[in-house]
Amino acid sequence: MSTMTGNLRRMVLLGVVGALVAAGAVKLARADVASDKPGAILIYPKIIVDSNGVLGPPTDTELQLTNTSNSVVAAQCFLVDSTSHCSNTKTCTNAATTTCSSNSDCPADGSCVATACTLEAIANGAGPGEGGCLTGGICVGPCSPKVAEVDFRMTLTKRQPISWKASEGLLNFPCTSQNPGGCPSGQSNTGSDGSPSAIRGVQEDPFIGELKCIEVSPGDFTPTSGQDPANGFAGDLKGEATIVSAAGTRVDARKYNAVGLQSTGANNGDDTLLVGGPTPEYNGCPKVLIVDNMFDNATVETHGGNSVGSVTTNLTFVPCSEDLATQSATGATLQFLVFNEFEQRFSTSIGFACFKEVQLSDIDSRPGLFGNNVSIFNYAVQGTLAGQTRIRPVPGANTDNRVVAVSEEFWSCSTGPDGTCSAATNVNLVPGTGNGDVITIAPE
Amino acid sequence: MRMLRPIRILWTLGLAAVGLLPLVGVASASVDDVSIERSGSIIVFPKVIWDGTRDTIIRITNTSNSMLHAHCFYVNAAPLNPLFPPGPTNPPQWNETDFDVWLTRQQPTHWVASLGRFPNAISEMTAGDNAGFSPGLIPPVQEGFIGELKCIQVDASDMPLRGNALKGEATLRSLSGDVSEYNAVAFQGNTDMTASDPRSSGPTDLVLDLTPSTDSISGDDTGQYSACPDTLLFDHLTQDASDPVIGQLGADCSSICIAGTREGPCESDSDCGPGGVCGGCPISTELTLVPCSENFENQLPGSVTIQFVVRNEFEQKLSTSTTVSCFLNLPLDAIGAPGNNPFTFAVQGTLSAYTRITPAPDNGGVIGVAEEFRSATFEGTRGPSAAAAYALHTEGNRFDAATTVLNGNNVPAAGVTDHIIVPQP
Repeated sequence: MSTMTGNLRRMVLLGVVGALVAAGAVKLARADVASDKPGAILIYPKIIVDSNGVLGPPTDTELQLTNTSNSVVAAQCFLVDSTSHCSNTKTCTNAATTTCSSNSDCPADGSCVATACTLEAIANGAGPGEGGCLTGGICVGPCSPKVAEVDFRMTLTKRQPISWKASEGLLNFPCTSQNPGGCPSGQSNTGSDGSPSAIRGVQEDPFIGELKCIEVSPGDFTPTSGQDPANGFAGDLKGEATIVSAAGTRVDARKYNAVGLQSTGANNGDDTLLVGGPTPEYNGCPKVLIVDNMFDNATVETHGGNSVGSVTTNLTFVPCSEDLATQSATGATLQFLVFNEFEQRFSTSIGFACFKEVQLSDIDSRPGLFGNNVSIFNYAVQGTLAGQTRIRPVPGANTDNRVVAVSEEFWSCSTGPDGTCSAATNVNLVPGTGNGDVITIAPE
Repeated sequence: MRMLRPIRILWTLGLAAVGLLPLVGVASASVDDVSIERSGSIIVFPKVIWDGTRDTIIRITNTSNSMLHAHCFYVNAAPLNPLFPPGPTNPPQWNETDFDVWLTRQQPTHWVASLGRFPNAISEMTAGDNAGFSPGLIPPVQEGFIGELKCIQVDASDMPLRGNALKGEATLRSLSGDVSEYNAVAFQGNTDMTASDPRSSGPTDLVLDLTPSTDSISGDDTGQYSACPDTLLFDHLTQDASDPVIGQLGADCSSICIAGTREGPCESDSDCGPGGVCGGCPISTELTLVPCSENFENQLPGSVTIQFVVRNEFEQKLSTSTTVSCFLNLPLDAIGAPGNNPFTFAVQGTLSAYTRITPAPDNGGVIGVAEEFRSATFEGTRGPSAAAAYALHTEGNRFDAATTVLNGNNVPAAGVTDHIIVPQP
C-alpha cells in the first residue's frame, strides 16, 4: 500500500470511522495509559546525565524511540530540566569540586555554573561537587523559578527506530538527504517543511529530568491522534530508557518502558492537550498507582541461602499536567497507603512540584539517612520484606493532578560502580474518571 | 460545483469504507488486552531461573479487598540434557509443578525460587525472610531450573475465578548481586460475564478470547480472559553492538573478540577468525517467549512458529523465523538460521533496531520479556554483566483478526483461539 499523506489519510479514515461508529459497525474500545502499548504521548519520567559522577557514579541515559506504524509520523519532544542547584555555590563544569565565582576561576574551557545538589547529599554531609552546597546554602528546585524546558522535533519514517544518548542528543538522523545510506523509497527524516530532525542533548551536566514526546502531524506539526488502525489510532510511538552507570570495570544498567498516553481519536490539533476528563483527547492518567516493593534495608536471602542482598527503592514522579507554554511548575499531593505481609496498613503523604525523586524511607522522614529506620517504608518498622504501596494523587479544583512514575531498586552488589546494582520497573496503574489533566505546549 | 460536493463526499466515504471493511473487528488497544501494569486473573512470569548463578525473587500481591486464592504452575523448560544447549535434538523437558497460594486482602507476599517458602508459625511472627501471613507451602525449584511461572486466580474450591486481583514482579539476581526486574504479564478476566463461552469445553478450559468483540461492555459477553497479543513489538539494540555509553563514562572498553573462532584481545575482525567480530563493551539481548496455549491437564506444551521482521534505523528490513516449543530463551544471535543473523550489528549496521514478532497463520500467540546485558571489556575478556529486563509492547489480539507476515508485510489472517487447560480440582 502506498503511503498517503498524513492529513488526507487521517481525514478520510476518521470520517468513515466516525460514521461506522455511529452505525455501530466498529466498536472502538476504551484504551488506557500503558507502557506496553504504543501511544500518542510518551513520557520518560526519569533521565539522568552525570558524566563526572557528581551526584552518584558516572551515568548517562540511552533513549530509544520507535515509530511502530506503517506511516510517516512526527513528534515534538520536551526535555524538562529538574536539576536542583545550590543557592550560594558555583563550581566548574570541568572540575566538579572546584568552587568558583566566574569562568576565569576554572581550568581552560570550563564554565562556572550553579552547583547541582540533592537534599539527600546535603543531609549526608556531601560537599560542593558531590551533591552538596557550601555552608548556609539551600538546594533550590526543581523547576525554580520556572520549568526549564527545551523542545525539539523529529520526523520518523515507517517503522523506524532511533536511539540516542541523553548527554549528546542526535543531530544527524539516519534518513536525511545528506546520508549516503538513504532509506527505502527515498523516505527522509527531513520534515515536510524542510526542517531537519534533530534531538539536542540535555541542558546541563549533571542533569536530572524528564522527556515528553507528543505525536504531531508530519504535515503541520500540530498534535494529532495515531495513524495506525491496528491499534485503533491510539498512537504510534513507543520508547525505552536505559540508565547506565560505569566506572573502571564496573557497570550497572536499569531499563524501563516510556509511559504511553493513548489518543482517544478526537484531537483538535491545538496546543492544549486534554488528558482524561469529560472531553479527552488522550486517555487519562491513572487514578491510583500500585507499587510492589521490598521495604528499605530488607535483606533477602537467595541462591539456596548462599547469598544475601539488601535493597532500597526509589520512586520518581512527574505530573501529568504540565504548562510548557508559560513554563509554570505544576505539582501534586500524593497519598500513600502501605500494606505489609501481615496486611497491616499504614499511610503517609507528600507534595511536590514539577518532579520528585525520593527513596521510600525519605517519604515520611527527612531526606538522607537520618530517620530512615523509623520510616513506615523501612524493614525495621514493617518486619516483613515485601510490601504493597498504593499511591493516590489528590485532585485539584480544576485538574486531577495525576502523575506517572517509575520505580527503581538498588541492591548491594560487588560489581556495581558504587557498590549497588539497580533495576527499574514500570508501576501498576488503576484507571479512573475525573476532571482530567492538561498539557499546554508552546505554539509552533 | 454545488452538485459535485456531495458526490465528492460520498466518493470519499465510499472509498474509505471499502478500505476500512477488512478492519472491522480488528482489535484496537483496549482494556481487555494483556497488560504488565494492571492486575489480572492470570499472571505469567515468562522467565524464572535458578541455575546456581542466577536466582529469582517472586512477588505477588492481592490488589483486592477480598481473600484471594491462586493456583500456580512452575513449568521447568530446562533442556532434557543440561550439558548441551537447547535445540531440536535437546528440547525443553516441560516438567510442571503446581501449588496453591492464599492471600488476605491487599496482602503482598514473596518467595525465592531456590528456597520456596514454608509455613512456620514461629518464623512467620519473627522479623525476617519468612515474616508475614503464610501464603501456603511454596516448593523450591531444583537447581538448573529455567522456565515460567503461571498463577491463575481460583475460588475456594480451586475452580478458576475471574477476579482480576493478581499482580506480580520477578527480580532476577546474580551471585554477584546484579539484578534485573520485570512485571508479570496479566491476563484480564471478564468479571461481568453472564453468557457462556461457546469456545470452552468446560470450566477448566480457560479460553483466551476476551476482546472488545466478546467483552461485556461492547461485545457479546462470551469472552473469558484476555486474548493473546497478535504482534509483539520489540525495540532492541543490535547484537554485539559496542555500548556507546560505557566507554564514554570512563569504563574499560578495550577490543576483544565478540564472535568468531578465537577469543581474547583483537585489533580487527580478522583477528577473531571466520565470522569474527572485534569490538569493545558489546551489548547482548536475550529474548524469552512462552506460548499462550498450554494444557496442564494432559501435560501438553504449546508450540508456536513465529516470524520476525527486523528493521534498522535506515528502515531496511530483514526477517527470520523460529519455533517456540514450550519455551524459548535465547540471545538474539542464536535465533533463526546461522549466518547473516538479522539481529546482529554486523548485518544491520545501526545501533538500534525494531522487531515485529508475529505468529505464523493458524498458530496461537506468545508472550515474553527481553533482557539486555552490558559489560566492560578489559584484559581480553568481558567483565561482569549488568542486566536490565524490560517488557515487550503488544499490538492487536490473536482472536479477533490475526495477521501474518508475507514478504515482510503484514496481511490479515484468520483469528486463532488460545486455551489454557488446567487440571481438574
